[in-house]
Parts: sequence; C-alpha cells; structure tokens
Amino acid sequence: MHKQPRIYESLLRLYPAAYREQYGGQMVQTLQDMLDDAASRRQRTGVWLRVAMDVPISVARAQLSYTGDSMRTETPLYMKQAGLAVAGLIAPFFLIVIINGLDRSMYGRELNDTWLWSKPALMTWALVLPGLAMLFATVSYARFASAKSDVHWLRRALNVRLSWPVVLPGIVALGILLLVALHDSAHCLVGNPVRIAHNPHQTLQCVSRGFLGGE
Amino acid sequence: MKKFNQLPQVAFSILLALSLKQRHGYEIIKQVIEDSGGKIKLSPGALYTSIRQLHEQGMIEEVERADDTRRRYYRLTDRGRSTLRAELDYYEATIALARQRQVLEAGLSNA
Repeated sequence: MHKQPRIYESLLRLYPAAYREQYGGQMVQTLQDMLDDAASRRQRTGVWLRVAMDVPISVARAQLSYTGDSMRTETPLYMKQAGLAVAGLIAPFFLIVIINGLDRSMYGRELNDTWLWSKPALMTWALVLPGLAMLFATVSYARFASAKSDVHWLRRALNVRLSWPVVLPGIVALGILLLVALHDSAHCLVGNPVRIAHNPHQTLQCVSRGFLGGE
Repeated sequence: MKKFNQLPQVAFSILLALSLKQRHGYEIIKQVIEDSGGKIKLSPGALYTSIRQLHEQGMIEEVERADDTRRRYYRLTDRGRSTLRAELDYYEATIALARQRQVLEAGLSNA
C-alpha cells in the first residue's frame, strides 16, 4: 500500500463542504485504490496527471452545482421576488436600446421625434427606473442581511453565494446610470470643442452636466 | 411513450458499469475503461460528481457491505435500470437506422 495521498486530501478543500463531507472519503479511497493498482512509477504518474487535469473541472462543476442547490433551497423568497422585480424595472432600458438600434439599422429612422425620446419618457427609462431598481435592490439587500439567522449580519451580507441575486440588479442599474451620464457628458464635450478648449470651467460644466443634469 | 432524456456520456457509462452488479468507485472506473475500450478514463472528481447527480436523480443507490466497510458500493435502482434500457433502445434504433441507410458501410459523405 502507498502512503495516503495527502496532497489530494488538501485539494479536496476546494470542493463545497457538503460535497466533501459526503464524498471526500470515498474520493481519497478511490485514488488510493488507483495508486495501489498502478504497477509502475510511470502508471502512478499517469494517475496523478489524470487527477491534476480533473480537479479544476470537477471543482468548478461541484461548486456550480451546489450554488444552484443553495439558490433553490436557501435563497429566501423575497430575494427571488426582488431579483425578478428589479429585472422587470431594468428591462425597459434594454428594450428601448434594442428598438432604437433596430429602427436605425432597418429603416434608417431615429427615435428622436417619437414619444419614446420625449423628456419625460427619457427621464423615466434612463433615470427613474434604474434609480428605483437600485433602491429596491438596496432595501432587499438590507432585509436579507438583517433577516433572522445564526450568522452575523455582516458575514451574511458579504456571502456572495447567497446575496448575488440582490446585488447584481443594483450593479446593473448603477451601470445604466453611469452609461447615461457618460453618454451625455461625451455629447456635450464633442459638441463644443472650441468653447471647451478656451474655458476649463465649461469643460467641468460639461462633465458635471452628464451626472447632475441641466443645460 | 415514455419521455426520453439523453444521459451525459459519463453518466451512461456508470449506469452501464453497474448493470451487472454493485461496484465501488474504483471498480466502476475500471469497468468504464474496459467498456469504452480505454476511451473514457475517469478520475475520482469526475466519477463522484456524476455519482452524486445519478444518486439525486434516484438512478443509483448506496449499499452497505459488511465485508468492506472502507468503501461505499453503488447499485442501480429500478429507475436507473429503466433509464439505461431506454438509452440502449435509443442507440439500438439509431444503429438500425444507420445500417438501413448503409451509413456504416458507405461512410459519411458531405453531399
């Protein structure tokens, strides 16, 4: 019998704890059997090479599988509701961007003159909806963090495996707001190159216009 | 007609390896190598990821053996056996179709 494959036991730490608990001992035993059965040094090297190639893939598969399981069984209902609601709030932004792109490429038309491009509509899909989405995500995240649990609220809030459904929509909403602000700033800068070159104050105004609004 | 869900290759090979008798992890690996003519060489990680899925789907079950307490043995359940049967029927029908079209004799053409 060969020495217990201790390196492999260390590698098992990469697998989810529940998986390790259920199958870790059997995995070590199976590797031990494989090494015992390998007649030569060359065959043993072959076994280790197979293990080395297999570990990253099987760790990724096990982690993904357990993340899916914990989402199904451990994620509170309100987190799922928050995720769906936020996705619904953000969807109009992408819908309008797609409609705009299709209309432009297929019919050469701009949406500038339609109601979709009117100031109230623009404000709604570019600022109000993502803003509401962020607010919703923040409230959901706070509720998730403070929900009754044995785990400390900060540790719970930082648990990416459980909290990403409420964090992700917030990040997407923030991304939309930044995109809109930068887009507006860029238009202002490109549209007034001469004025800006002579007036640093104007440049600052242009950049802030994107983020703070105003003419 | 029973709904047919094609199994991943590794899962199919494990069910086939367990079709004759209950086996522990390394015995499954050896049988899969033999059945596949050396084309499928499983490592413990890949083996137990598939074993877990098959176990959760109710296709295999664990067996306690008094003569070998260090290893866990696995055997097919009725569900696993019927799934394997359905899978083999599918392959059998596919091979019959390929023979009928003389694909195996003539080889594949791009035409």
